[in-house]
Amino acid sequence: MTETREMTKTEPRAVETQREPLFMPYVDIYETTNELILLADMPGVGEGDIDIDLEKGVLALRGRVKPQDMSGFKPLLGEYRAGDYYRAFTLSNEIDETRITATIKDGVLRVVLPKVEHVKAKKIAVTTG
Amino acid sequence: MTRFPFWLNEVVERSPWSDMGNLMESLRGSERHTTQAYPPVNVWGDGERSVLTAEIPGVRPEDVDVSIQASVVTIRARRDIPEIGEGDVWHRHERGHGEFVRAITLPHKINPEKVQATCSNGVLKLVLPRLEEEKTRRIQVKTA
Repeated sequence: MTETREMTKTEPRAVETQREPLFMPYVDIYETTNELILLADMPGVGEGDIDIDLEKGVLALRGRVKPQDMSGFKPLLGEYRAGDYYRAFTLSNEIDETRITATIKDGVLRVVLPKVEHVKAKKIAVTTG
Repeated sequence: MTRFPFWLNEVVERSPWSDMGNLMESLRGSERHTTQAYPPVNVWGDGERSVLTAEIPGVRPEDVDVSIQASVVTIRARRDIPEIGEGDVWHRHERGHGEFVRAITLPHKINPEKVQATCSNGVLKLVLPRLEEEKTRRIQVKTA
C-alpha cells in the first residue's frame, strides 16, 4: 500500500547503458472502476515495435525506435537523442494479468490493466430511510 | 485523507557495475533532451535542404499546423489531457499537455511550395528545400 521507492522522475532517464542508450518514457497512470490505464510517450515507436513482457509479476515495457537515416546530411541542431524506451513496474495481484491489452497510436502506448473481479469497487446504493 | 491502493510499483533497474560506474553511465544517458523547449527538434542539412524532426507524441497529424516565413518554420499544435471519468483517480501524471508553438530559424530561406510534412508514430518530419534564389552562385574567374 505504501511507496517505498523513489518514484517521481522529472526527466526521462536511461535505465541501462549498453551500446545504445535506453530511455525511460514519461507515463500517466490512472485508475477507473474496473481497470488501470497506463499511457507512455514513445515517439518513433510503431505497431510491432513494442515488447510487453510479464514475468514474475513484473510488467516490462520496451519500445524499439528505428533511427532516422540521415546519411549525406550534416547535423545542424540536436535537441534530442533517439533510442529505445524501457520502463518496468511490479504488478500487485489485484491486476488480472491474463486480460492485459496494449495499443499504440501516434507514439503513445496505452496499456489497459483490468482489475480482478473481487477488487472492483462496489457501488453501494444509499436509500433514504 | 483517503488512501488509494497502490497497484503499480516501479522497478528500479540496477547496474551490475560499481556505484561510481552506475552514476557515470546514468549521467551520460540522462541527457536525452538538451532543451527545455517543447517540442525538442533535430535538424540536418545537405546544402540543398534541411530536414527537421520533432517529437510530438499524442498529437494527431491533422492537428499539427506548420507555417513557413522566409527562413523560419513554425510548428503549432496541442495535446489534450487524457479524459478521465468522474471518480477515476490519477496515480502518475508525468506527461505534459496543452498548446505549444515552436519557431526555428534555418540557415537558409525556405521554398514554401516544396515543403514536405509527414507525421508518423508521434514524430513530425519536415523536408524544407532551400529557396532557389538563395543558392550560392559560382562566379567564373577569368584571366585578365
